Amino acid sequence: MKKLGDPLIALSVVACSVVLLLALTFALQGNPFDRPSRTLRAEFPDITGIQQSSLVKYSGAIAGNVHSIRMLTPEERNASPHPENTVEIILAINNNVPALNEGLTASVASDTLLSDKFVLIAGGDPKAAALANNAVIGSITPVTFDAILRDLAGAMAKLREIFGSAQGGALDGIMPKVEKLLGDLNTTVTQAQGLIGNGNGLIQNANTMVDSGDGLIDNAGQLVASGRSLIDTNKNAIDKMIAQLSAAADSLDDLAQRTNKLVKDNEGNVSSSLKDAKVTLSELKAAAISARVLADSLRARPQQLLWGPGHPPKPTSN
Amino acid sequence: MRDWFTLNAQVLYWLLVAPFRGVPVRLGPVFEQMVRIGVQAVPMTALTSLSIGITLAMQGAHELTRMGAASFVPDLVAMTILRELGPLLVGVVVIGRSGSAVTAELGTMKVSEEIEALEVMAIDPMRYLVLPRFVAMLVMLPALTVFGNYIGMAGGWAICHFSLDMETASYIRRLVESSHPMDLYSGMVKSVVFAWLIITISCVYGLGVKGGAEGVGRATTNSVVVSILTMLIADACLTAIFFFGES
Repeated sequence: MKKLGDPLIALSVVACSVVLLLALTFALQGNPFDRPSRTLRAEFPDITGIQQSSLVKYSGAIAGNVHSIRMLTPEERNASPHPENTVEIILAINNNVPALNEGLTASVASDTLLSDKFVLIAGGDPKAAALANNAVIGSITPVTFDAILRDLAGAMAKLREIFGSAQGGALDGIMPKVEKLLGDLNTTVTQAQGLIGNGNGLIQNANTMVDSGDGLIDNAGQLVASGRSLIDTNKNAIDKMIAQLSAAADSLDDLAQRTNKLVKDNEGNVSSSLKDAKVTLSELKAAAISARVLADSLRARPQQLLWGPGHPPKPTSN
Repeated sequence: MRDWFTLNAQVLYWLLVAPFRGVPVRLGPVFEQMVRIGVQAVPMTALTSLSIGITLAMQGAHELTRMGAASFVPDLVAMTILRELGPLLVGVVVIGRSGSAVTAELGTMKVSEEIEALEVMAIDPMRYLVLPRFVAMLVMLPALTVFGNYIGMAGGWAICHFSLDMETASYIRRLVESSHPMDLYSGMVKSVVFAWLIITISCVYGLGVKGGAEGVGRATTNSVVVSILTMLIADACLTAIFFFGES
C-alpha cells in the first residue's frame, strides 16, 4: 500500500504544481500557442523605461509586446532621415489586432507617473495601404521629465552666459539707464499711490452709501415685519370681510341680473307707454298753444267772455 | 568543497550517464523521498507563504496609501513573491525541515556504519541514498515554490480585498499586468538552483559526519547554516544575472 501511495501522492502534487505553473505562465505571457506573426519596427532617440516584453498598446488597448531592442549602428544612423534616433525596437503585434494601415506613429508612454512604460502606437489612415510585415513606423520623441529638466538646464546655461557677458563692461552703459528707469518708476509709484488714495476715498463713500442702504433695508424689513404681524393679527377679520365682500358682490350680481330681466320683460310695455305719452304730450302742446292764444286774445279783448270771440286769430307755430 | 564537487560529479553520473548503461534511477525511493521532502512540507510552506503575502500587503498598503498609491499593492506583492520571497522562503523552510533531516539521516547511517555496509555489499551509496533525495528535491522544491507563490498572492489578496476594498478582479488584473514572465521564470530557476545547493550540501555534510551522535548534531547545524548562506549568496548572484545583467 505504501509503495502505491507514495508515487500517487507525489505525482499528484507534482501534477498540480505543473498545472498551476502553466496557468501562471499563461496568465503572464499569454497563449503560448498563439504567437504573434506580425512585427513592426520603430526607431527612437530614447526608450528609457522600455525593455524586452514591455507592452505595446494600440490606441490604449493591448496589442502585443516588445520583441527585441537593438542599437543602431553609426552607418544606419547616417543613412537614416532621422539621425537623432539611436535605438530600434521590434514590436510583436498580436494576431487578434486588425490590419494596421500606414500613418501609424509610435511613442513611449505610461498610464501614470509610477506605471511601467509601454509603447503606444496610434493613428493610421484607414484608407491608406496596410502596413507590410516588419515595416518601419514613425516615432514621436517622448517628452519625459528628464528631457524637460535637460532643456531647463540648457536655458539656465544660456541665461548664465547672457548675465556673464553683461558683467564685462557693457554694464557701465546700462547702469545710468537703469537709474533713470528707477526714477521714472518712483514717480509712477507715487502717482499710483495718489490714485490709490482717491480710490480709497471712493471706496469709503461707497461704504457709507452701502451703510445707509443697509439702514433703509433694515427699516423696510421692519415695515414688512410689522405688516406681516398686522396681517397675522387680523387675519380672521380680514378673511371674514373678504367673505362678506364676496357675498355682497354675489348679491349685487343677482340684483343686476334681476333688474336686467325686469327691463327686458317690460320693454314692450314701456315702449307703448312712451308712444302714448308722446301723443299725449303732443296733444298737451297743442292744448297749451290754444290756451296761450286764448289767453292772449282775452288779454287783448276781455269782453270776449261776454260777447264771443268773433273771428279768432289763427294759431302760430310758437 | 572537494567532497561537494565529488558528490556532484557522482550524482550527475548516476542521473545522466548510468541510465544509458542499463542502470536506471530507482523510482521507488525517489517517490518516497518526494513525499518526505516535498508533500509533507506543503502545510508549513503554505503557512509561511500566506504569512509573508499578508505581511507584504500590509506593509505595502501602509506606505503606499499615504502616497495615494494603494492600487500598487498587488504589484508589490506579485513582484516580491515571484522574484524573491517565494523561492527564498520555501527554500528556507525546506532547509530547516528536510535538509537537516537528510543530513541527520545520512550522518546517523554513517556513524552506525550502514554506509560502509552498503559499500561492502557493492551497493553504491550515491545511487542508493543520495540520488533519490537529489531527484526528489530537484522536483519538489520548484513544485513547492509554485504553491508558495499562489498562496502568498492569495495572502496579498486577502489584505487588498478586505482592508483596501479592492475588487478580486482588479487585484488579479493588476497582478497579471504588473508581472512579467521573467519574474516567474527567474523565481523558478532560482528554486531549482536552491534545490540543487540544499540537497548537495545536506548530503555532503551527512556523509562526512565523524564522531558519533555529537558529530551528527554538529553536521546538521553546519549543514543548515551553510545551506542558508549559500542560498542567499546564490540568490544575490542570480538576481544580478537576471535583472542587472543588461544594465
